Formats: sequence, structure tokens, C-alpha cells
Amino acid sequence: MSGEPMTESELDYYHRVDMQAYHDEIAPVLPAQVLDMHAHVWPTLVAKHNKYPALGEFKGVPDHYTFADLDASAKRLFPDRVYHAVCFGAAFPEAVEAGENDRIAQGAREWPRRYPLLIAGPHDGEQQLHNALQSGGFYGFKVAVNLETQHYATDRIMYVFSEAQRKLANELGLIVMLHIPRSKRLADSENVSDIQHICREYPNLKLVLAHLGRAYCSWVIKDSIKLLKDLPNLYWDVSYVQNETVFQIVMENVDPTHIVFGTDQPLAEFRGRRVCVNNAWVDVTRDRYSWSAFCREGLEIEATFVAYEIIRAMTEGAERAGLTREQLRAMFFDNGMKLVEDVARRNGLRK
Amino acid sequence: MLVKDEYYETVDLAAYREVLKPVLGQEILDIHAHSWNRIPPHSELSQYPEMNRNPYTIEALLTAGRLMFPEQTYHALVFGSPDPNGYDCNDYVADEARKHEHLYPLYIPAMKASEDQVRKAVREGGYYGFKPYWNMVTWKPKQDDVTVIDMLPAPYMRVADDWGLVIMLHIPGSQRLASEQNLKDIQTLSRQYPHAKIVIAHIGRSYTYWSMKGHIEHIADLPNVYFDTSFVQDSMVYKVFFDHVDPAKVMYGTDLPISEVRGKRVWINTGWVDVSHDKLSWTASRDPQHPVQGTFMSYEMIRAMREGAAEAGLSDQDLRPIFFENGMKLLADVRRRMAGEWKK
Repeated sequence: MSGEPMTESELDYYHRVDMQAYHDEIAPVLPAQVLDMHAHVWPTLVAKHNKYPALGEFKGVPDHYTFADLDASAKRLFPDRVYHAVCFGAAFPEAVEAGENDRIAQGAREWPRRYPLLIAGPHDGEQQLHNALQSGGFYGFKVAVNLETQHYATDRIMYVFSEAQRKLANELGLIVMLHIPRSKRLADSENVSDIQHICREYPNLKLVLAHLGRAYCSWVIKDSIKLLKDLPNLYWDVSYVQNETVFQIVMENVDPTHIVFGTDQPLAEFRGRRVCVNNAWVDVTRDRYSWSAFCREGLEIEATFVAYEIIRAMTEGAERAGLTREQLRAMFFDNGMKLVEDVARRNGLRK
Repeated sequence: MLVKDEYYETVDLAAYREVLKPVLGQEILDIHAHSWNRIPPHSELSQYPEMNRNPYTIEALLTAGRLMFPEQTYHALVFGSPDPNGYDCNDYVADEARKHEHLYPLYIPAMKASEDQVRKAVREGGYYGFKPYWNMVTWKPKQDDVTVIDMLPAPYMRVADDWGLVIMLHIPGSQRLASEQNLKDIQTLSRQYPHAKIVIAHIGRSYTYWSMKGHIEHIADLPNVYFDTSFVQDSMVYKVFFDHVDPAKVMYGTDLPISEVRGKRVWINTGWVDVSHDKLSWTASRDPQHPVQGTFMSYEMIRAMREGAAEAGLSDQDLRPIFFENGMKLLADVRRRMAGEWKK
């Protein structure tokens, strides 16, 4: 017998670690069908300012993540559930120029239970957007954000989510998945006032705040939630948020039927957790990624999927906020499907 | 040894002003600090090699105290490193405490001492109490087999009860406060030795709250049981803790030297992980070109305490005695009872 230590295979790890978490903690809160409100697909990633690149020996987000890959991920993450997804490409202006929307529309036609959003840039005209929406069968917009440092730090929501997008979304009652810019996120008063303005001036659009307004740490949301909690057409996408206190704050303040589950695939298939250190988020992972913190070889963290850490934190937050198990369960399917179905009904889209 | 450098001035002091200043008074008592001048030969196998393989002198401790709490007078309940082979540094800590007016030493007990030997050691060392540890129970090599009662033989507890000494109790076992045996033993000791001051270190090693939730209430109201918050950096732990425990029974501690690490202890899946600015052998860290911009773990403890306490309805004013007065009351009581006993 060899003296070499045996290395556990990925499959064995999946069954020993991931499936234990799934069966013990995740499956009990999920309904029979799961709607992932925030899933990316990119046949080929187009990103000038990729925050999650592979560098040297370190891993990054995949260069190619197709509808087939998303389906395989869903089977891994939620093996006994029917998976639906609101999906879109990499949400950058350069991806639009590369024709990513066409590929997303095509894929969503080929795969059941996929509800595509159109990546829309600030300079796209109303007619152009209208044509793209109709020809692609899109359910709304994923607002493109320029991650170039200066833009990301200063762009206003009213700029990235252009007037043309707002008018169309309101007219057609569309879903708008909004990843807000600026370093203070929801703690930025101009972001808050823009969100209030949009929700009030365009009451028929369904504004979904991606990542709870990028609230990975509680300071982002603890005060601003009071200013946003009562907007009737504002919804809260939990993707990639893994902080119980953030969930408690949201769930204590907003209508729980306005909270929708999302993963941010393919990122949520990483094994690890996004934590807050000195008020800034840090991804702590089992594997060695270029932007994450990880332990040395031989001392790897026994982590499970980020998707599960999201659900754990939601469950904990819901308990602390005093929500019922039914209210929590609805976040994983019913709440989001109401939005999807309403768009489909208004616009004659297939479901 | 900690030094004042650019990182300290820009990152640490910014956190100090934001997180610590609003809650601290003019003096701070660190109820849980280590110091040692000798290293056991097997220390390279310890849990935190970079911290434990070098001496951590009183000078280093006091320097850390001065830099971490630059506007406060730093006091510390200090003890060596539990080691069953004589590297506990009891004498060193006692000697240094005589030289520095704000240091209060604890004694790491050998398990088989008689009551007379224990009394003599406390008298001669000027100790305020004991710091037992599971690894001193050498006849039980597995931590999960060690009980609190094993760690505190009757001679020690009789002396602690008689003189009202502090027992800094790091509870054993993987179940921590969720262990019925641990809870039962704490209740038993509290009842049998009502004058001993039993301080539950690290809130029962509750770095996350699963071990505390549903259990802390079983020991929260025991009259002579107190809680040391050292190394707890999770706001939710504090929320649940303060839902059940009177803040007057709570004391802040750093667990220096390890809280010199800039980073945070976090929970990932089923276990804790220390995330750090510097690359250390046991921590998770980032590419050295883009390190985690962490500050001292001693600060993260206070940040988490304030957040959790606020959730539990406590103000900064409510918390302030945790950083000095609560602990000093215990030490003053020991001093009063030991008057005439301690060797001058």
C-alpha cells in the first residue's frame, strides 16, 4: 500500500459535506420548486473589469458558463427540487456590445423554466430596447453597471437605469434587476433618493434590488431600510448575502412577500462564505481564488456551497425576525413567480 | 511586538475612533491576557504557532495594551500558558505583576497539589485565582473526555471558596455550552463553592451561537458565575447572550496575544476560521498584494459586542462597566479577602 495520503474526491466531498448540509439544513426549508431570481449565464464571459478573474495558480469565475452548466449546477445544488431561474448575461455594457443578449434569449427558448432579462446599457434607445425585449422574449432588464473604478464609485442609479429603460419597464410592468453602484451602496443618500424616485414615478415596474442593495454587512442597510421599507413596487433579491443580521433587519422591516431568493450563479457554487471583517466583505473559500481568503494547503476549510450559506443566513434571519416557516418558504418560489407570471400575463410571454 | 506604523495609524486607529472610543472610559481592564517567558519544546505543534512559539513577555503585553487602547490606562488579569510539563510561567507572571501596578496574576494549577500547597502558592505568588485548562488533566488525553470537575480538583476549589478567588474557566469539549455535563458541572461548582468567582472564559467558547442558544440560560443567573467575552467576535452571540445575562456579570477580555492578529474569527459551514491580514499558518488570508484590511481582533470583539448589545436593547452606557468596573469589583473583593494572606 502506498504511503501517500489519500485525497478525497470531489464527489466524495460533495456527499460527505455538501449533502449533509443540504439534507440537514437546506432541504427542510425549500419548497418543491425553487426560483433562482439571480442567475448569470455567459456562453463566453465578456468583462473589461472582471472582479473575479483566474490569475496564475488561482481560480476565477468560469470563462464559459452555459445554460447546460446552469442546469448541472442546479442539479448539484438542489438535487431533488425543480429549478427555475431568472437569468441574464454578465451585466456590463461591453457584454451588450458583444451580443450577449441574443445568446441569452436563444438559450432561454431552448431550456424550460428560464426567464431571461435583457442587459440594458445607459445609452440604449427606447425603440432599440423595445425591439430587443420583444424579439428576445425578455421579462425585464438587468441594468448594466460599469465596473471601471471611477464609474462604479460615482455613477448614479438614474444614469445607469436610464430614462428609456424606466419608461419601458413602467409601460410593460417589467422586472428590473438593479445592482446599485457606489461604495456606500444603500447607505448612500443619493442611491436611496433615486430608488424612492424611481419607485414613485414608475409605479408599474417591479424594481428588484440585487443583493439587498449589496448589503453584505449590516452597516449598509440598518438605517436606509427605514427609508425604503414601504415602497410597494420595490423587491429584495437576497443573492449572495450571507449575513444573518442583514436578513433580520430586512425581514423585520419589509413585507416578506417582497423578498425573493437568488444565488448569483455561477458564484454561489463556490465553497465558502462572504463575511465582514472591519466592515468590509471578504470571501473566505475552501479553494484558492484570486480575490478570496483561504487557508494553506493541507488545512483547507471544510466549506460548503455559498448558495447554502445564503439559505442558512435567511433561515436564521427569519427566525430572529419572527417570520413563519411558510413566509420563509414563499421566498424561494412563490414570491418571485408572482412577478414572473405578472410580466408573462401582461406581455403574452410563454411561461 | 506591536509597533506604531502606517497601518496602525490609518487602519487600526480609525477603527479605534469609530468602534472603541464611544464605549470606553479612562481605564480598561482586560480580564483575559496571557504572557510567558519560556516556551515548551513541543510548542511548534500548538494551535497558533506564530503566536505561541516565541515568548510573549509582559513588556509585549503592555505595549499591545498601550497601542490598542491609547487613551486608556490598561489593566490586565494575566496568566501564563497552561502546560503540564512545567512551562506554565506562573512565577514569571507573579514576579512581573509585582513590578507593574495594574497587573493581577492568576495561577495555572498543577492537578495533584494538596490544599496546603495550593494555599502556599497563592499566598507567595499574590495570585487572584486560578486558570485551569483541560490539557492539565493528563490522564485524559482526549478533550471530549475531560470534565470541568476534572479540571478543578477539590483542594483548589476549597481554597478558591475560602478566599473568594477567581476561577477563569475555559470549558472543555467539542459541545462547549451545549454539553449537559459542562452545564451540570458549572451548576455544581457554583452551588458547592458559593464564594468562588467562576468566570466562564470566551462565554463558554461561544464563537458562534449554536452552543449558546438554548443553553446559556441554565447558568446565566448563578450568583457567583460571571462571563468573559474574550475572543467572541460574532454580534449574534452577543445578542442572544445579553438577552439572558445581566451585563453586570460580564467582563471584557482580549485573549492577548492572539488578538493582536488583525482579522476576525468567523464561522464557515460547521467550524470557525480565523481570517487575517497577515498570512499565518492557521488562518485564511488573501494574496499578500491585496491583504484583508482587518484591524485587531480585540477591536472586532468590541464591535460585535456593541452591535449585539444594541439588538438586545442595551446602550453604550450600559456596556461601559464591562470594560472596567465589573471586573475591578471582583478583583477588589479578592484583594479585600486576601489582606493579610498575600506575602508582601
